[in-house]
Amino acid sequence: MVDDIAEGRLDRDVVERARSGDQEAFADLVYQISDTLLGIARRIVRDPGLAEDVLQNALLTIWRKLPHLRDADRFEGWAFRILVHACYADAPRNRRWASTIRVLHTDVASQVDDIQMISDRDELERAFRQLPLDQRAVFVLHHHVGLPLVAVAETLGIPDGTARSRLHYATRALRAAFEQARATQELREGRLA
Amino acid sequence: MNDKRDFDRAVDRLLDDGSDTTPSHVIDAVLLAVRSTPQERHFRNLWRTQSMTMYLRVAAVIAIVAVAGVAALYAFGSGPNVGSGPTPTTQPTLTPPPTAVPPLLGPDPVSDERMTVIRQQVDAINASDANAFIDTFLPEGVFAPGGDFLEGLVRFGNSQPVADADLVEAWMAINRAWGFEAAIIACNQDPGARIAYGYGEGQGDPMVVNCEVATRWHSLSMEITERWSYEFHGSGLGHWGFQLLDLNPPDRALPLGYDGLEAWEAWLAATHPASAARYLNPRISEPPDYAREWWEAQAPGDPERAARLAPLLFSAENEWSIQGHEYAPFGLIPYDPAFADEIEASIQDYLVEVQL
Repeated sequence: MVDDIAEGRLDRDVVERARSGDQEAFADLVYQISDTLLGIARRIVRDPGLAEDVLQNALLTIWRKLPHLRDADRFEGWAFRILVHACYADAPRNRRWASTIRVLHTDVASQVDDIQMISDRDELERAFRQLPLDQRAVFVLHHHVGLPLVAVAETLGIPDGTARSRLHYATRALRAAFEQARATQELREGRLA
Repeated sequence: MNDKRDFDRAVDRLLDDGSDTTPSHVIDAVLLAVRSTPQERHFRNLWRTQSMTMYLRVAAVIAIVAVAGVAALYAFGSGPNVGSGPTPTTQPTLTPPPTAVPPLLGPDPVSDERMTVIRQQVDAINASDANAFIDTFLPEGVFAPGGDFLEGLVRFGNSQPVADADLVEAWMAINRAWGFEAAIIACNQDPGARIAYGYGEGQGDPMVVNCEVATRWHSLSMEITERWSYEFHGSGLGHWGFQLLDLNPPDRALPLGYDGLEAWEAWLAATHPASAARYLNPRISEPPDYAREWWEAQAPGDPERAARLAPLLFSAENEWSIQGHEYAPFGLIPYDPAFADEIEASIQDYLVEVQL
């Protein structure tokens, strides 16, 4: 992902022009990167509305601070870092109840499997929301964006070991929630049987 | 093995939920704001407080934030009622700092005429003289403020006609409360600078002059070196901008910059909520009474004006208290000096953790 510029997804020239104050070039950048940033923010803060606020703040910070970016090839990772800091800044101030309603397709699996899936999903969601934001950030950048841990650490400006430990703690918490959901479901099925 | 696969799938479902398409209104809002939001210029400066205690370092951060707030007040636009400005006060003379600081931009000279305008402004600040300050900044009928504070820009727009607002007085009052002084160290013309604002076009050759300025904040017991940028159009001063210190790399005396402080605050709230509740003043959402009362004290018998000015000052006064002065640049760290040592330790913990 951080190699997107080298791969041609983000035009280095566009980054350079935006860095020198070209608002049209920055608009191009926004159109190119906003979906990716929104996806990261949404997964970290777990609230679509808040994620949009975070994205707006992050994009404006990116615009203001672009002249500080030394290497245009590193734009995307740099933008990720600003976004994650925006998540840190905005999420605690905007903590609110959130609910997620999903529609399950009725023709894809057995009813028991659907119930299992819902149970797993809800437990994971709950567990994920209880993770500290810095653990969520590492988890999302690694599992959703697909960055190797070394790149996650570089993006967030933290040591490799810190990234690794945050991922470990996050995974451990989620796995515990997952296993709890499974155990509860098995118990329920046993009672029904 | 199945459990692991099931777990991986469950995680995939957790992360794959929902749409990532950015709504157009979000992009529109950003692009609209960008039109009125200048970029920060990248520059580095020497920080001259290596021997400061941590308490003073934290105070220094706050003072930088204060400078930001000053810029924000400018960004609000400023205004007259020039006859009722604060009484000039006598302040000790500021001497340039002992540390040798290299000239900012090179040998290009600045004309005497333009240096006169710059000195008038600095003199007006040191005298807390709102009238002289407004005169200096009213060369072409428009007060052209500096700063890059989004909130101010969104709320009031840049380049407010002086006659539309009163915040020059507010700013001068804050300067006086903090014992703010300024002294020019060096000014140089920047031949490569882009004319960013263009006010007063047709009045003469445009020119950007960058000055390194030593500022002293007596109530914070500290000095800061800043860069002030002046954009001239002929003899007229079209814009005055502040450029805040770049606090990176981390071997600077100051541990955190603006964003770093915000991030520390967020980190503290997320990881040590009990400490956050103690260190950070609660945020409030309404203009406090003292803002109105302060203005009433400045201009007795004009409660209407006081009521009008209180909300304007609210953004700068909310959330922060230093030595009894309830000033706070908006959106920044609310800081209680009573917890200086604990805050020092907490910031160090944060720095170790995030390796800023």
